[in-house]
Amino acid sequence: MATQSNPYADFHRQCVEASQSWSEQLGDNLRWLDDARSEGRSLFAGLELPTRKTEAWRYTPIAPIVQGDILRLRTTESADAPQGITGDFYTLTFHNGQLAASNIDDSALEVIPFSSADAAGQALIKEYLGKTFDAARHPFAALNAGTLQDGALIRVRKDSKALKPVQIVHTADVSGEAASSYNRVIVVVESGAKLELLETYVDTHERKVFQNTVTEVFLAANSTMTHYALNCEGANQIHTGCVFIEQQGGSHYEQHAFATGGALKRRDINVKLLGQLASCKLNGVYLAGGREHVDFHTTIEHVAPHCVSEETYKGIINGKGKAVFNGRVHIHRDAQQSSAAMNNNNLLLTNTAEVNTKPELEIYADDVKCAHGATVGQLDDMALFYFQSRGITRSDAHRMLSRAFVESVMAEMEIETAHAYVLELAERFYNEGAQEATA
Amino acid sequence: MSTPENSVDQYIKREYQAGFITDIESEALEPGLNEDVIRFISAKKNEPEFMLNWRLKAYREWLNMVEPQWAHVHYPKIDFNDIIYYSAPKSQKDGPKSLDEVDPELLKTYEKLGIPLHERAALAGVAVDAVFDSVSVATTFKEKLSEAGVIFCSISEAVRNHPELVEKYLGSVVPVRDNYFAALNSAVFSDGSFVYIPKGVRCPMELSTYFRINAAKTGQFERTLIIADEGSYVSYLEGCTAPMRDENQLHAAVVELVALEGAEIKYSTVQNWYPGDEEGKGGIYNFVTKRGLCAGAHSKISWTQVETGSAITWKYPSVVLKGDHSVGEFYSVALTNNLQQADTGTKMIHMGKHTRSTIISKGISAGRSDSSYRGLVRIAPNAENARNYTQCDSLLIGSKCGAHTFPYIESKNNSAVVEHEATTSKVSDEQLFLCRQRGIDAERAVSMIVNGFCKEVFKELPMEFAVEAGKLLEVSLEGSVG
Repeated sequence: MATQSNPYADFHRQCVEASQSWSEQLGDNLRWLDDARSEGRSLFAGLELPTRKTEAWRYTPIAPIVQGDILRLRTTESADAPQGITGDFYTLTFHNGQLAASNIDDSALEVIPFSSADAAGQALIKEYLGKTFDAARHPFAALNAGTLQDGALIRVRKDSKALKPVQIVHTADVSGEAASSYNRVIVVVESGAKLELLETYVDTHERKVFQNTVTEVFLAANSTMTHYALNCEGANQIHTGCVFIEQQGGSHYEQHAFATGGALKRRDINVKLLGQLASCKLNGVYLAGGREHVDFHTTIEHVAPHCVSEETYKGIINGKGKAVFNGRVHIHRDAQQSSAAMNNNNLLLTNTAEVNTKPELEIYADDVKCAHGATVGQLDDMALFYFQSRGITRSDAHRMLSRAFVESVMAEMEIETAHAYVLELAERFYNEGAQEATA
Repeated sequence: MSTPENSVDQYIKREYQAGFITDIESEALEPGLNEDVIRFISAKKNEPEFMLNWRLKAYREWLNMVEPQWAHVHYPKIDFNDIIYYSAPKSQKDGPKSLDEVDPELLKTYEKLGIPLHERAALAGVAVDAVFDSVSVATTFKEKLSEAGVIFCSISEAVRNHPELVEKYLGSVVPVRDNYFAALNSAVFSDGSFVYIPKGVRCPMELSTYFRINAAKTGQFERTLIIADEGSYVSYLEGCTAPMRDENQLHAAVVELVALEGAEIKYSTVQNWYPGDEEGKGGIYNFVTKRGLCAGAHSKISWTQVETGSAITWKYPSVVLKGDHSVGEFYSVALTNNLQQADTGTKMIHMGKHTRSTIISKGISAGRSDSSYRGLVRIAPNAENARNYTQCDSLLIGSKCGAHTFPYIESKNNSAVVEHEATTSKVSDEQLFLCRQRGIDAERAVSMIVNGFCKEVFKELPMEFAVEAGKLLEVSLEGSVG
């Protein structure tokens, strides 16, 4: 391929320079990460920033990041930051990308913040850091590796379970100039252990923030993890988040993703089923209104035989919103007796809304059951009429039908407080949709 | 579960039945491509100046383009300067006036292939514009067609005799810089078919062209243009076989269809080119651009294809649904075996209001082959109430093959409804068990199941082709039937 000049080359260079100077400014307590950072940075420098010609970014222009004036880290502490979900959780907060607070106190859990890791902790972190992904294929994960502002490793001890779910809140100051943050979460669930983890990305109101996160999950044999990834950002926020999951035999991983708000939101979820009888379930709901842009890219790799994966993503797009879904299931040659099901359903509420969906299957084994489905449509006029003929206003009917469309997925969230939290945000979204539709 | 594998083994060992080389003298250029070659081709065909300019423009565009890499296929790099761009059977100065003038070797070739050229053509009710390498040698049923006002001739003739139609429509659906191979074709296309159906005419018979690649190292660059004027109807059949040889042959054809208001074009293909031997040696590279434009309201274009040949297939028959209420259809069976690779599918571009499209794709992979479905359904902002239904199913036979699906759905209109479904499976033990329980032996059961799997597509083929397609699959399953 002939290399054409990349329109983002300037920004790319600035990114590398900024990342370099940030690394130098970070405290001595993070010096031990210097090697990992410079490795990540040189990788990132060698990559091209994705353009519309990059297949994985075909529908998601990174212009909001480039034009975002976000190449700034913010370290000043301010109490004025939105909180995550209130509930009976252990909470760990990243404020402006730096670990601010943690109230975890549980014999089943070991939490090692990058910024205060002792030698043993550092060794443990290095054992897992960056092991789940090929940074050359994920430019923003490479940028994350090159900057590594802070992070934490959470380990659940063998055959044990924490008393409460763990919530990681990614927050930032509500006022001030635009800035970016880069942190890493590593989760290690040892064999037979269980973990419920919430990652909450909260609304920082009008402030422009670029959040770049990477979560790496290692599930040992027969372990179980339920992961809530709740992206509830404000209108100006930009988010690129990668989640990489490696599953050993008999383990089960479940993710409930929810995304609303944000100028640009890109989530990459990559699951590798490495041991026999591992299973995973990815649920997702995205609600994009206004000028929001939501992009979910998921990859499930069936490496070992007898694994099961199940994926359901539903989205409602309103206003001038745009949604992208790219689901990929890859069945490796030896992964016989695999079962994979993928579904993506979209509802377009306005004729300015847009959705691009691409459910892919890549199959190299014959004894498998794979199916995928995708639909794009609108609310059924007959259904709306049915409601109206029974005295329910059109806007109420609109709201109820929207709710019904995604609720089947959201209802699978077992943590009540989390479900209620996203339900409230979703309700706001349905109201806007109903108002626009009946205005 | 030894039976389906048996059938695969049989298929793998089956000799390529249409494999033979006809030894006739060709008037060929030296391998290589430059502007002089294009001038030579154009002069050779007595083309008007606009054609030469068009070819040169395409060539200059092509020079600046890059060979696409996105398809899920692998092949050694093609040396475009090692290809002969023009080869014509000799003694063609004024064209044969009757079959007697046609080189008997040529006729033998057709006979071996069972092409109904003279009496057989009449029996089959098919008008054949047979393309042997690059020049049309014989055309039948001309009178009957011209009575109806239908123009059915080689594209070189059309360039000379109907330049106004060619100039207006050539490249209107597939522009010269559409893609790498289409640009190359535009620059060097040697021959092909041209069809024009006048207003309100229902073409009295099914039109058919048999393509055949013959002279060694000749890239075949066919160009087909079919124009259905308002309210007309035509069904066009295309079938291909090629002689066995060990060097890869490039085939980069372009097919353009234009359906004006209320017109309908049905285009059916059975493609059985040499797929290469068991080691994947030889075989045709089939890089084809096929696209139809539903230009007028209530027009309809339907593509049906049965793809069993070629080492590599890279082909996406598409429909641009521009006219309101226009309809696009795509029915496909793609069978790959040994080391064959197929990346095929369709594009349905909905631009007009109330446009509808249906995609039914069936992929069967055996041996160590790879087959991919790659499709795009795009709903433009003005395509009110557009409707698409896509179904793509894959059947895997053997544990070393691959089946992939890459569907792109882009919707920019909220009144549109797009549905996509895909499944991948193998002939399941349960299905086999059920058949055997009822006294059907396993081999027949496999054949039944595979035929049933493809039935939705076969029923769209015209009679003659349905028989041929059925036969092709039958041969591939011969081992299991007995």
